[in-house]
Amino acid sequence: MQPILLHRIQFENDELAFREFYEANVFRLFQFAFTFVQNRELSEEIVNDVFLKLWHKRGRIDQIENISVYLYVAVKNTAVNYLRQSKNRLDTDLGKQAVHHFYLSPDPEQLLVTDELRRRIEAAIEGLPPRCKLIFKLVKEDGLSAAEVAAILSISYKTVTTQLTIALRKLEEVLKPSLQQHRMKV
Amino acid sequence: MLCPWNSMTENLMNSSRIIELMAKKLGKNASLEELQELERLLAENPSYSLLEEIVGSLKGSPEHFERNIPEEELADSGWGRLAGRLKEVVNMEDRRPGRMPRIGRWVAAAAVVVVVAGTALWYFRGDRNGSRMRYADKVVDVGNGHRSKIILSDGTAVWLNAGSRLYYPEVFTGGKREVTLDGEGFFDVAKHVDMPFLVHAGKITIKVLGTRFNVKAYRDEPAVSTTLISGKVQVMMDGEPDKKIVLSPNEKLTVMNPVPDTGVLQDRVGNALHYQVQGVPKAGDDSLPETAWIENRLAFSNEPFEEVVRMLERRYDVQIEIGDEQLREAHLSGVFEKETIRQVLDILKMTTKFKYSIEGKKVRLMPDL
Repeated sequence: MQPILLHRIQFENDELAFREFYEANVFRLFQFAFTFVQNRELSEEIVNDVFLKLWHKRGRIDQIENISVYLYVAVKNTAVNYLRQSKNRLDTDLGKQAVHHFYLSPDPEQLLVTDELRRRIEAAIEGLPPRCKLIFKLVKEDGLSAAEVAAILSISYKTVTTQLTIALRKLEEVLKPSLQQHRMKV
Repeated sequence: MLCPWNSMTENLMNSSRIIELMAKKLGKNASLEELQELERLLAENPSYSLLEEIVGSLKGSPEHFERNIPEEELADSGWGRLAGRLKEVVNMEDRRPGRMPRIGRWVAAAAVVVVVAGTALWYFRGDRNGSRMRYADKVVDVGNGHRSKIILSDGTAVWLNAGSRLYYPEVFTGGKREVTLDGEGFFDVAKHVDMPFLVHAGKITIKVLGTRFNVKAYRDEPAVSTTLISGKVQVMMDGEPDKKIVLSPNEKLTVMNPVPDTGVLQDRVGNALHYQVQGVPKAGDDSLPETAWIENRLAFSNEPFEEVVRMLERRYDVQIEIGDEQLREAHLSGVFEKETIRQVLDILKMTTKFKYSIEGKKVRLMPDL
């Protein structure tokens, strides 16, 4: 869907297509901006600045190799620039950021689990180290690939995979009792 | 099935391999072999299927977002603020003093004419050897796949698009400057107040009154068109001296030609020329088809498929066969610059369904079922 929208934005100056593209991407980018600045108004402003720039250079959209990576990196750079300028600097080190606002939970429409198990899953994800949690969220919820996450966060692809392994191990650990139960029922 | 969780070394090894493969799958970097291996391992270790299922079902819950911001509200309020800024900036650009459209860089202060001469039944009527052509003693012929620029004796510069021909005199003499175009041309007309510049194209003659305009009159197309970019042009139709049309900026005049089968003289025995005047986007828009070709951009905006096919044939010097009648109904928009014919077709395919095959200079478009 996105290639067609981008085509319409670039070649037809189609504002409706731009709006559709905006609405499809604004929330995940907003969450990403929030990771850095921890402030709603500021996050919204950062994301809008990024989209405004994209609109200006819409004539060259097809030269952007990966639009998702482009948007996330632009949000990151804008946020980091802001933090650099602001007096009350916040810590821009992702490793130290609290990432409390990401919340992943089993989708009840896809999988029925007991309330007890659901709570444990949520707690396990909540308890992940911030950077691990962010990477897991970017992959799982935002639908990015490990390679894209690596490009966005300027870390190696291997680090991304390692962090994903850590998240999976944590879930595995939490699930162990249930897994056994599950097995016994089968 | 009596083996409890992790009771066997084999399971331990499997478990770390499963996690590794799941991580790869999650990162969308697992090969087909690895995905198959994961499937096999999950089948052998059903306890991990639940883990896989849970990971698969994990979903973000916007309603749990820290400050309780629903996604929709954010999209609405955010867009509300952004939409205003989009317009603001566009208006500012329009108002910026001294802003010249891209083509303005080389047109400088002179009057400029874009001419696309086409269908040109005059050509077959014998005009070539008739009175109109007496003034022309030189011809420049641009083949498909090429573009060319020439400077006429009065200093007028002419850019010629692929598959075009311009007839002109070595030196302009007398009270007017006359040229004849078959194809598409952009004219940067040198100013000589007492020597009007006339472009004969197809069934029409364009008189330059100090202006920029585009004329399109390819012989293989059913109409001649003139688009005025700025200033003023006067268009006269052959055989109808009373019918003079003065175009205002950003207007396009299209004159339909009689169906070729009905014979060359058909229009002279009663058939009035059909024409229409319509608006076009403001000059300076890079995607305006009437001027994009000068900078080697191929642009079309809601053009009939067959017209686009002819543009592609001329630009890429290929023959395109439309093997799907329904395609003829389609209308296309696009701007291309450095793309190969394959890249252009791949992009067009995104909005209009078709398949294509290329063999040498022959391109075949087929229905994509």
